[in-house]
Amino acid sequence: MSSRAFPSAVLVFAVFACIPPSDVAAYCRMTTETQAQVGDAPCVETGAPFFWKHPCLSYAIDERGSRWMTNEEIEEAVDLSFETWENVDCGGSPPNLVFTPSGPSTCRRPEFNNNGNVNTIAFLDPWGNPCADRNDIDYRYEPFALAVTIVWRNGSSGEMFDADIMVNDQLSSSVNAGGPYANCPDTGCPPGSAGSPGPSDLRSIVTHEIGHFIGIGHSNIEDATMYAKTEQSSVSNRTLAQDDINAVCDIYPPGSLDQFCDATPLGGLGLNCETDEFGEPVACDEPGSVPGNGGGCSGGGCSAGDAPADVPWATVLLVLIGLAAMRRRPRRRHA
Amino acid sequence: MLKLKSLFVLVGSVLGALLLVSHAQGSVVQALALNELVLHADQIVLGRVLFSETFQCPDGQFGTWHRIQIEEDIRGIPEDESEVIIETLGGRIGDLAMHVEGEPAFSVGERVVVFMRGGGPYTAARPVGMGQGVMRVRTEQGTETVTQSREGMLLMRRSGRGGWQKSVGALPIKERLDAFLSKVRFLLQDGAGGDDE
Repeated sequence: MSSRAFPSAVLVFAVFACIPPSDVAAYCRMTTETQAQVGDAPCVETGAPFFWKHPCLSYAIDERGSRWMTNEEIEEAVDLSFETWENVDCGGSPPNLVFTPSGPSTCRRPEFNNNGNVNTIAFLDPWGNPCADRNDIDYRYEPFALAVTIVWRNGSSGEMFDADIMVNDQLSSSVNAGGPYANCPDTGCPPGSAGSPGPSDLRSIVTHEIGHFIGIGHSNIEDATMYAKTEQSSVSNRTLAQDDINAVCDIYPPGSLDQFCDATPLGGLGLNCETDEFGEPVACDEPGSVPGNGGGCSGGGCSAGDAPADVPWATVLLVLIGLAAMRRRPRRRHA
Repeated sequence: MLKLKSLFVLVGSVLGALLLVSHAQGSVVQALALNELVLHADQIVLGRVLFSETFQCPDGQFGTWHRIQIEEDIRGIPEDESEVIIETLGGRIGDLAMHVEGEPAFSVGERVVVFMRGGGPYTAARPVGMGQGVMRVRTEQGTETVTQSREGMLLMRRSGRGGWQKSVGALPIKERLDAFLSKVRFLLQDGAGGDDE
């Protein structure tokens, strides 16, 4: 570089570098910070980042499936989405992250409790909390949401205990997001018509949501799966960009986990959260089914809850039964 | 030759710097334009966050109530009301937290413009479009500006042909608060907010 060009280049670089440094960040991590984000920074940089302490994780798809796709199609989309994250190349080795499909489950409740848990992927029509009164505000999920990821975690450390992905299975309309969904071809999803909305690619949606499932926030990079905007016709979110790869490799660097690791959720595996062993419905407010005492919602101020610190011995049997029920499918994990 | 080389270096530096500061932005949510936010909002207020309190429902879910002191009623607030309660999903109680990507967070003391649906006497309202329904007011060099809260949301939008397309949302860049409120009022007068105004 010439002696005259160098100072100019440094000056130009410095001018652009004066743009707030937070804009430089690429992927973000979800953190325990509950205060509103201030300024233009794309990432919340305070609080403890979310993480799975034992990143050998199971997931289950609710057996009632979706009105838009067969259970086999859903299973294919969801499995491939998890494998996309699991099979990332972190410099010759995969991340220390293993996903084990279990199930199918019977659980549309995004809950975390002492009696067994499942990281569930459920399709909801109507789009609401099945445990709440339909006339109650607590019933409704955001009507304009296609999917939400609900994470249970330690209040201060960011350690994740449970993550559930809920998909809005209603027909999309002007006042409601939702289906149809499909496994679109690699060339993209077909457009719809004025009266008939085109499908969204389920795999693209789930791949993005799994990023949150493992604690990754949004990215600055437009081609990243974790970028905050996308187009329906696109299936590009199925494929991780380098920024997504950096995120998963940074958070879960290669380690010792393999496909035979113990993927039992904290509190034991409970694939069915809605009926008991006799087929009777499990009440949503069944005492002891939730951390803490269950409490109530009157007045807005309610009971404090504690994470299940110790797994009760009574659940050990359930865990063993659950393990036996887990259907481990062969994984396409790369060496 | 030297000049050409210098030019390349300069252009390269600019491009390199631009790459480093390239712009960007959880839950997958339909992007709403401002007129849609207005249309779907039963109540719109400018106010200050007084406090937030998390509660647990019998089914174990967490919710949080945010109390907002009303500074300006833009739509739908009964005359004798000085505060509104906004409910969001999730929250933290003790050492356990339920986190719902896309739900807005509020800081005590901050000023916000909130587009809400539902709610009424003794009942909480919900922000429209999750975090999209919350605009944060900041004072920069003596000027009050407003920015949209989009934390944790992947925004998508249906086109007229039924497909999805990119959307900039209701407030792609920060605006002066007074100009933004004028736009909202214009939309209300223009009928975007229905016929109850």
